[in-house]
Amino acid sequence: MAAYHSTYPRQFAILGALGCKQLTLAQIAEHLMTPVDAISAAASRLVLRGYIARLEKGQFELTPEGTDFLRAAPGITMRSPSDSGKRTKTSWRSGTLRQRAWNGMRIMSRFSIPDILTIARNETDRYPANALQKYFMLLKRGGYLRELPTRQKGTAASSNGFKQYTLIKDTGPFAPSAKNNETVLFDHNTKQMIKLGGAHEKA
Amino acid sequence: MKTVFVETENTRRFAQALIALEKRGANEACLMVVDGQPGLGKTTALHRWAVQSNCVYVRAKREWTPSWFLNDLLAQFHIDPVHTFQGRYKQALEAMLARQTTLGVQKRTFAIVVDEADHVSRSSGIMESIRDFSDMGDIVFVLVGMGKIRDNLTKFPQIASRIAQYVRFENATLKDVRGFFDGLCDVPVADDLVAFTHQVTMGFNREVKEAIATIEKFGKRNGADEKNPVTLSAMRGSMLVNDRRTGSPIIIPAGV
Repeated sequence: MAAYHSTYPRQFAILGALGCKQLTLAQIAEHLMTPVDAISAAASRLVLRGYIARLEKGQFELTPEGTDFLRAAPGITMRSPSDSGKRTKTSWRSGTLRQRAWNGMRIMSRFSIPDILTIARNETDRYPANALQKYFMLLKRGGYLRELPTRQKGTAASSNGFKQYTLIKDTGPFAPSAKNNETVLFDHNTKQMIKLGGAHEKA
Repeated sequence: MKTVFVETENTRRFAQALIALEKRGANEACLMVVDGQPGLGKTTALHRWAVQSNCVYVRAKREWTPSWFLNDLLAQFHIDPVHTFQGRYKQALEAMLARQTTLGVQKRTFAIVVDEADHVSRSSGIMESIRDFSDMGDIVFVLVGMGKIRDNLTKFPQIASRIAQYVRFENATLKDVRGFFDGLCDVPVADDLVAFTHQVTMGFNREVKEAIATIEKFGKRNGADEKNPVTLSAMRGSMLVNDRRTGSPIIIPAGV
């Protein structure tokens, strides 16, 4: 619980601000003297965690889970300088290249890295081809992807073509994330750790 | 060839239609129809939009029944379907509302994209289920097809009246084809060859991309660069792409 306070102080502050009331994002932002954008992002995490619910009129209120969580919380402790930057659990982040790539894999029945790159990359991604190559390798070693026997034809004259894959373990909407120096994958859908087997080969 | 998504006039119109859909007057009018001939980039555009906006994408099957439709929807949310249709409908609606809430907080539109919707546009059972989801949860459905959806939906005026936006994917313009060359091709290409490609491919994205691959190979083999782009005359006698209607190769004529 203390870890939650120190790692997610804004989310915890929103829970406290809501209490037994129904408030809009603007009201919460005014109460906490924080920009609405920051409140919006933190509130979306809380909705994902099931601690708050969005009502029809754009207002939010605590869910029973959120109320229980708040009641069980001890006094808020500030994060000490020694543990700053340390994360106690693997958190799932939306909007990352890996999440977008995972969404694409769930949509397409067979795909190559260039296929996923075309639909998943955006302007802010740095070295997206390398990043995806690495992620594909992790997913393959984790048993999520299977390489198909036929290659997709390349456009360059000397191209050997591109490996094609299919997603054989679609566990849900959240992209698995790497942990422990990429020796394990954490599946946010099943809450399972998958120890990565296989050699470190190129995807 | 580069792996980037090229914005075209069609994708811009689709984006505008989405904005218009968000500002719609009647909340229950939350259906959108996207149609056009095969090879105009509908599926790629919708794949990209669904991936970037975290929306659900399902592909309709020829033999889809309302029950199968719900099972496919629930599979996207990774929910084990219960035994009854009523229960599955409730499960799907709750899952969609939860996702809608999450995206709503981020001020993003949640939608279900149904590709190959021509298969289901004559099925009253599935179309009525879509209507129910729209009415009960203001869930946006984007129906993607090849041009029969509009005609088929005239049989269901109660559903047709809920279509807030129609987007027809048209053949790429010359400017779009230029955009494809600039965005995808690794070698510079002269305007005359771009215009010829636009003419012979009739602005079908699929054929334009095939032509770009051919031109890129030619350009790399012949050392094309900024000062020396690939021109139409340089490619005289080369095969550019296969004709969509006849399947025969289109050769760049010697007299150009």
